[in-house]
Amino acid sequence: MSEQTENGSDLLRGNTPALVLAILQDGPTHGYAIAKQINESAKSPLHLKQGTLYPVLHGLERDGFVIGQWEHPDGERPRKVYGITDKGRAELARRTFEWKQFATSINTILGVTLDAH
Amino acid sequence: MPISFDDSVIQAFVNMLAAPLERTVDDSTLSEFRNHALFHLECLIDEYRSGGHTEDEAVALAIADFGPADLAAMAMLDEWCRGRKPSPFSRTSSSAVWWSFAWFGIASGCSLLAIQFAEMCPNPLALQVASTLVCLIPPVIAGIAVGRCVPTGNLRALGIALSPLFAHALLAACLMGPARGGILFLTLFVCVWLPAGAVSVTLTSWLRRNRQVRYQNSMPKEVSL
Repeated sequence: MSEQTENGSDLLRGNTPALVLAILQDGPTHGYAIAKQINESAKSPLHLKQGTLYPVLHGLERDGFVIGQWEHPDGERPRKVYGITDKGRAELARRTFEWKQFATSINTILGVTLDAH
Repeated sequence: MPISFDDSVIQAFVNMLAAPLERTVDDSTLSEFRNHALFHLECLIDEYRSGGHTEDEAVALAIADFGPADLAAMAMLDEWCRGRKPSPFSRTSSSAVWWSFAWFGIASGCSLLAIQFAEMCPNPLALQVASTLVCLIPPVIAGIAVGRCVPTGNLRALGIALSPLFAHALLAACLMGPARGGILFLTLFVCVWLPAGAVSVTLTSWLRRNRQVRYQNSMPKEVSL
């Protein structure tokens, strides 16, 4: 793995809960689908080590931001489907606001101008 | 189950994933984490197989995508400890302390018995031999046993696991009088047991972690379909 990708993973790690909540806003789903969506939506150098997603989901569930339900489809391995709660939506709004403030501050210091496209 | 291949590699990986969490997180959380990992890996394997990879390639690529076992396990361990009171006797640490206390307790008990028997023996050579054995063998064996019990890569748990060694030394200093056997035992404890035990615990834990890292490094680093 390249150094650039590893740095991307470091940046991604602290913000994974917000990404998970954002994905769950579209509807309940399981961990594999969440990981896939993060890796497909976020272009390189963001690449989630998928095993680290489950501790994040565990924390979000414990804090009441998501709610998980085990499903046992016939002939298939059980999977846990997560859905966002009202508390989770409020948390997502808070994290989104914080991220915007953070990104604006960093961009200002670095002199980065975002492309309108 | 949807997977028909020999999943021993996947099971071994999931065992490696769960190993640092055993005796630390509760059984239901551990079981849930294992189920998550198995389902996730199976989905990845199915995806790679449908993309034209062989079964072995699909397994290797799925494991590479999932990421290093110790990374996920440590993230889970951190997450588990996060919601708990920050105490030096949190469950992670206390588990290591109990294992350490048990193993070093057994080792010190055996050592005391060895010295008592050697003192009863009229031959001074026997005492020297017993002392040498007591010096070297029990702390190393107990250290290896403790090193295999504590979570790998968790320096805090490792440090706290060594605390019973210091407790043993202190207890021995308080209980043992100026008798020859007592002074000998105390000297051995401070001069040999503490460093030997500390080194063997640290080394064993480091070797376990190193083995996990080597296993991870043997997996492909880049994934391309």
